[in-house]
Amino acid sequence: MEVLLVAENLVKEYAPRRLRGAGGVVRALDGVSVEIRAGARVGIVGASGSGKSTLALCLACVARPDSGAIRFLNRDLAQVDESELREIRPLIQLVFQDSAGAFNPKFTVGEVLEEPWILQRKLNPAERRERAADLLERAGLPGNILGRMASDLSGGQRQRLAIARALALQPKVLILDEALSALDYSVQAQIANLLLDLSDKAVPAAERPAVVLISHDLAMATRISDEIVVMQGGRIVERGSPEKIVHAPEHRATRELLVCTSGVSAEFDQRPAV
Amino acid sequence: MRYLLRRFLHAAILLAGASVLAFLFTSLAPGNYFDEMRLNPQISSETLRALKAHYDIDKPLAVRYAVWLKSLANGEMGYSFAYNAPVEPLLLVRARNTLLLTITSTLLAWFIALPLGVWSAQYSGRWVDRVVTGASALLLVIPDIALGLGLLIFAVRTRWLPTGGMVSVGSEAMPFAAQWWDLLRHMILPVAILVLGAQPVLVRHVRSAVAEALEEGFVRAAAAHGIPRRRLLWRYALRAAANPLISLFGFSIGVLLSGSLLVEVITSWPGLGPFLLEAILARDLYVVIGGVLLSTVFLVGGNFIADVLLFWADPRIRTE
Amino acid sequence: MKSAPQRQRVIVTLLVLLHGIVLVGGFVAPYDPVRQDRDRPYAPPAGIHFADGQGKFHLRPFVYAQRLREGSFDQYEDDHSKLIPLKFFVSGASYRLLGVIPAKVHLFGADEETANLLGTDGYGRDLFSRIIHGGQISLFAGLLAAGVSLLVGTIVGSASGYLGGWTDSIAMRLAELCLALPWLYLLFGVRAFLPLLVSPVKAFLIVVTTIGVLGWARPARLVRGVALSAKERDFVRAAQGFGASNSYILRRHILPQTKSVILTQAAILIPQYILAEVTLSFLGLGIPEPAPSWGNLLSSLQQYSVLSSYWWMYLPAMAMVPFFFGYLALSSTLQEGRRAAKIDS
Repeated sequence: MEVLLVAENLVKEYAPRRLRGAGGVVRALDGVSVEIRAGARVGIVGASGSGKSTLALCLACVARPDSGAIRFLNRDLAQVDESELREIRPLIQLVFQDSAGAFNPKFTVGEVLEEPWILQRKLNPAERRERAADLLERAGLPGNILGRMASDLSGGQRQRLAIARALALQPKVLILDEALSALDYSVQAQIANLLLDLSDKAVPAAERPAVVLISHDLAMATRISDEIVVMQGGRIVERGSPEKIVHAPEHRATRELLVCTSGVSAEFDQRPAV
Repeated sequence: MRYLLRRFLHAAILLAGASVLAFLFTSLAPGNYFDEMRLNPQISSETLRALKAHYDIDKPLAVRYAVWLKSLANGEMGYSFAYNAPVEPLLLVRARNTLLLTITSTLLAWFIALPLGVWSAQYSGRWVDRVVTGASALLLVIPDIALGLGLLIFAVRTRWLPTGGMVSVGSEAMPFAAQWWDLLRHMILPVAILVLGAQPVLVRHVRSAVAEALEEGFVRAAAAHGIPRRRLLWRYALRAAANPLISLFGFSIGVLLSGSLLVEVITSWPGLGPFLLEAILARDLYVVIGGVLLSTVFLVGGNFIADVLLFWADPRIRTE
Repeated sequence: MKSAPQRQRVIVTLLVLLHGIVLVGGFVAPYDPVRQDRDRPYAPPAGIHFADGQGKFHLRPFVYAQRLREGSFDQYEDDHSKLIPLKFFVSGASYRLLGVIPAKVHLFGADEETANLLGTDGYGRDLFSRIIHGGQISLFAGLLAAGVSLLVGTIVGSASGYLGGWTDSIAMRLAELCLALPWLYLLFGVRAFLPLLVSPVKAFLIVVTTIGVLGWARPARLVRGVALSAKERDFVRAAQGFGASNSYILRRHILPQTKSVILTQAAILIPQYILAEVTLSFLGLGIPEPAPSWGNLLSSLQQYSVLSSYWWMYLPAMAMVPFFFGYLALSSTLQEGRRAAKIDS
């Protein structure tokens, strides 16, 4: 499968402001390299502060790394000019954890969905409405909510809407930054299934995005991903298939995540390190 | 300490910028003092030219500003065309008159508003609070000009108070004590107008600051510990309410020179306000600039004093 | 107490009513505000009566004619022998309703006679009519000036907050500078340095523009704050991800968020600016004669003789009070509403 998005040796530092002006930078990313292929489902897991969110922001072109390169379809994103970047951005979509701020509080569901097309100057109003209804269906939302205020929806519905909007311009990569974490467990399961459906092999290639799920919940990540990447302290400490990660974790960080996750029993911690 | 230095620098730069702006404004205005004179057939064009040269009217703006700055360093503020005299003595006398009024009324206003506001916050919701808040609201909706003119009419009709000016005619001849009493009688009306006008804003701010402080967790905890009410109020709540109140106090200081213009005009008090107004109408350039700058010094200075007080009162600022 | 939105509606209704009365001022006012009657300078208010000296009750209200007191040249007294009935919807001096429609009907009047309900000024002009027409000018000046301030402030503030960087730094330094100068003096200075002897219309425009433009800084700061926080919101990032231009984001996402701040500011600025116009006119720097404004109606009170003898010349000052009350009540309910909304969110 072709390589879509590549991060090479990313480094990003934050200099937090202290009361006494003491130095000390925080290395959110300390030499991170990762590859996203077409049709892949990757889960990036780690505890808080491991750098996974920063990685997501860099991959989605929202944040710029201090050093290292991000390539999309072999084009170095730091080198492209504004107009090319504007074309690339819609192809890498980001869905946030807190959907409450994801929509303009004064927009209706229809307006939220149609905005991407309006901005890209595609489709006429009738086509937009049709495609919006399509997206709602794909995301598992009832078709009659087009006129409702986006902020009136429930948490799970809002995440579906966020995913639907992200899909509007047929992105090649869909990055979800803790997008399930704020939901009820049962709703999480539903959204997880949605993600699986969206990236199912049966879906035509043009509409099937690569899915990157950022989470601290290892169990949820293993449900959705074909490949797991474990991060700690700004570095990638382990990679592998879900089976390997769960049954034969190598790094201490991975084991800690296993213990903490819901639905995974503690027996895995008793396995000796290999 | 560095914080204070920064704030001082900030204030100084602001002042400098304000002086430039003021100079720009007034100098760019169409017409100047001498254009009016040109209409007077008794003044020859030669005299006019000499006068203009004397006052450097025709020199470019930057030169005039530099000259003015230099004289400022010497403690001078330029020359008044209308009075044919240096500006500072004129301004300082008028400023003194204004300050006499405003300092008195500011102190009095705070003296009244603090207890009223604290009282009102303490008994929040009860009739004391309602009366105070209601009276404040009533005063607030009556604009200063209505208040001032109303009290003036009252003074005129009842003849209890002198209705204008700072001193009675021939007061210099009076014995010392009588002179002071005369001055005081003349101050009553303008001070009353100023104090009444300031009350609603002050009381409201004091009340809300104290009420919020009383709601704070640590105050409630102290109350639960049985700390007596008076101590609670003064040592706990007031300290928490200090920040917004200090800022308000800084503002009160800031408007000492510029807040009483209308009252001075209405009561014919010979303060900075009417003097500046007159100068503005007469296009007396340096008087206007000097007066505006003096007022700005107070405005910026008031803020700075508030910064200093906050620094002293609030340890959190010191650790920044 | 009623709920906040309910109270808001009551207050807004009150304000609309008050403004409405002034809006149709030509109709409400019985006389032409600039029509002089040199025979009746400083006539006191004519009281409205229903019962005459003989105890007879009249259904139609009336006033007594006024005549000069014996031996006085400025003291009037009621002439009980002459009753002037007040009629409604009388035809009187022509005027333009809302400035456009020519009309001649007035709410009330006394046909050929003069009934000065609030007295007359030094030129014999009816004070009641002048107060109403003066209200038109003062209120309109305040509203327009507030509009100018809010417009300039919103444009500068939203651009400054959203674009950040140099634009923001320069704009905010400038704002700070403008706020550091004493506002009233600045106002007077700028106004006085512009031509003074101009027509009332030109003076009106100059006054409005001056007050409005000088007041840009505070609204600009507030709008900037909204823009700053709005630009960090996810939906702005999302739109940017879809290729939105800056102007689109400002228009669709940022400016709508500023609505509530702008409204609150309006409720605060309008009375301030009305007062500014009144003060300017009072001191001779605002609307010139013969056009009435609440300010220049009061300026005659600067003379001691007027102050001591003709108390009704004070009435224009009272006319401002109900309007200020309305605006004050409005701004406090608006603030309450925002506080409540914050708690809910």
